[in-house]
Amino acid sequence: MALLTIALSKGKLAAATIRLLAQAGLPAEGLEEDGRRLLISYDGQGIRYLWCRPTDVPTYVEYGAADLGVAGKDSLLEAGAEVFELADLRFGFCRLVVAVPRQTWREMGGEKGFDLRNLHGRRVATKFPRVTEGYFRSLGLQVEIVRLHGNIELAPQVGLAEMIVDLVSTGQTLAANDLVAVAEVATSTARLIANRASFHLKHQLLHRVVASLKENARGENVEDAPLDNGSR
Amino acid sequence: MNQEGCCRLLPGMRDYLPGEAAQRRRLCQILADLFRRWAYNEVITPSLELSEVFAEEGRRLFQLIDQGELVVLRPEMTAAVARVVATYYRDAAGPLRFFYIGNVFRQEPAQAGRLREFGQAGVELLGVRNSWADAEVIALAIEAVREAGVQDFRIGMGQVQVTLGLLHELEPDPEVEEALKQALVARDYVALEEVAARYGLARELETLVGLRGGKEVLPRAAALSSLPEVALGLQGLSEVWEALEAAGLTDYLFLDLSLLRDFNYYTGIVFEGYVAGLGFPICGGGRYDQLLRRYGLDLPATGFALGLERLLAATEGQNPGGSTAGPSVLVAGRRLDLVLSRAQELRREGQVVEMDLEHHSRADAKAYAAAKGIPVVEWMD
Repeated sequence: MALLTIALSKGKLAAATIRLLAQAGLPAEGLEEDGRRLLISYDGQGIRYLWCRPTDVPTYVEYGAADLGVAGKDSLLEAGAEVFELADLRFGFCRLVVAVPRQTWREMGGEKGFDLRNLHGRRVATKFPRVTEGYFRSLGLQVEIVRLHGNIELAPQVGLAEMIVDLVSTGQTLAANDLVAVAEVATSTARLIANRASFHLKHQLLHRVVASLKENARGENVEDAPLDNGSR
Repeated sequence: MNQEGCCRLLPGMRDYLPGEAAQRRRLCQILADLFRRWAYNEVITPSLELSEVFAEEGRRLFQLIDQGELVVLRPEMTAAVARVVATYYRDAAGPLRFFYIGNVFRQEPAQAGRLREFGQAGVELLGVRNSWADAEVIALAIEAVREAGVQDFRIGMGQVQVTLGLLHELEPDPEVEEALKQALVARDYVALEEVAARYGLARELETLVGLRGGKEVLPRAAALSSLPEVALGLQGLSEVWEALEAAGLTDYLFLDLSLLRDFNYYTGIVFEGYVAGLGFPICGGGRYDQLLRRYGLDLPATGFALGLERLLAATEGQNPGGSTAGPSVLVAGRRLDLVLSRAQELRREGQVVEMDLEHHSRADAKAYAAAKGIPVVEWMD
C-alpha cells in the first residue's frame, strides 16, 4: 500500500529526476522510463511513482491522484493548476521565448531597432497559449494565438504565424530554423509540487521527502545557455 | 453522448440524475437539520445580485447587464448574507445565526475542467467578537463534516492577525510584506524562498512556516513576537483549542499559523478542512469583522462554507446507490378510481407506491412488478 504517490514527467526531465530521487535516498532502482510501465510501486518503502506526460503532471497532483509531482515551471504556468509549489529542483533549465524568423528580425530593425510592438496584431504559434496570451496582454499588445502541439518552429516558415513562443534550452533548434529569440517570456526549471490536501494530511511524511529532495537539488546540470541572439 | 442539436451542456455545469440527486438531497437535509439544532435559521437569497454586492471578489464572475446595471451570478454566499443582515437586521441585538444551502457560480476557464456551478452549505454567526463564537463555528464545521459521513478529515486552524503580525515583524517594508503574503496564500514556497533569501529572512520564514501541529505551537509563536495583536490572537487560538479539546474535537484539528485564505476579508481565526484522497479543501471559513462595513454596518462576524460536491465525493461509495428507494407496492386494476384511491391510502401510510398505468390483467401487472423489482402487487377489482 503506497503511502505516497509521486507523479513524474516523462521526456526531458526524466533522467535528472531519477538521479535526484536516488541521491535523496528515495527508491529509484529500475525506475528508468521504458514507455510501458506507467505505474511503479516500491511497496517496501511505501512509494509509488506515475510516469505522466509533462503537461499532465499538474493535473494529477491538483486532483489528488498524486500527492507530489515533478513538473517543469513552464507546464505549471500553462496549466494554472491549484497546487502548492514546494521547491525549485534546479534542473531542466530552459527559457520560454518569443522568436521570429531572422529575415523579419532584420526587416524590423535587427540588433538596433527591433521592437516587439511591431508585432501587434500578428499571429503567434505556440504550445503555451495561456502563458502567451498573458505575456502579450501584460505588454498591452494583442496577438492572434495559434495553438499547436509540436514542431512550433515550422509555423513561421510556411506562413502559419509571424512568430512563435516556445521553449529554448540550447538554442540549437532556433538556429537550425533560422529563428531569432527576441524576448524572454519566462524561465523554467523543474519544480516539486504538492496536492493541497496531501500537503496538510501527510505533512510529516511529505516534509521528510521534500527536505531530502531540496537538500540534494544543488543545481545539477543547470544549462545556462545564452539566448542565441536578440535583446531581452 | 449526444453533443448535437440542443443537448449540449455548458462546460463546468452538471446534471444530477436520480441516484446522485437523492444523495445530494439527503446531504442537504442532514446539514439543514444539524444547523437548526445549533440554533441557526435558514435564509434564501437570489442567484442574481448587483455586482456591487460582491465587489471584494472582482474576478471570475458571470456577469450580465440588467437594464443598464451590472449584475452577477453570486460567486459565494457570505456577502449575500451580509447584505441581508445589513438590510433587515440593522438594529438587531445579540448574536444572529443564519445558514444557507445554495448554488454559487464561478467563471472558470472552460478548459480548466472545474465546476462553474456548485453547491455550498454554510453558516454565518454575526454580532459576537469573542472566541466563544469562533469555537462554536469551528465545532459546528467539524460536526457537519462528520454528520455528512466523512471520518478521515482534518481541520487546519490559523489566525490572520498572528500570521500577518509575525510577517510584519520580520519585514516591515509593505511591498516585501505583500510579496511574502501572496506567496503564503498560494503556498508558493519557491517564491517565498526567493523573497526570503533576497532579504536574509530564510531561517525566520522557515520557522514561521513550521508553526503547525498541536497547542505546543502557541508558545513557540508567542516567543517570536511582542506585538499586542499577535499575543491577543494567540490567546484566542488557545481558548478555542482548549474548548474543542474538552469537547473531544481536537483529534480533527491542527494549528497552522501560516494559513492565509484567498479572500482578503478575513480578520481573525481562519480554518480549512481536508479529506484523505480528495484533492481540494472540503470546507473553509473564518472571522471577518470588517466585511459588514461595506454594507454600512459595524458588526463582527464569523462563518464557514462546505462544498457539497466535495462532501459527496468524499463519501462516495459509503452510501451505495440505494438511496433512491424504489416503490414498495404496485397498485394495479381495471378501474382508475379504485387504483388511485388505494394508492393514496398506502402513500398516506408512508409507503412508496407506484400506480400501474398500462396493464389490465393481474398476470401482466405481476410480470411488470417482478421486472422492476417491486415486491408487492395489490390488485383492485
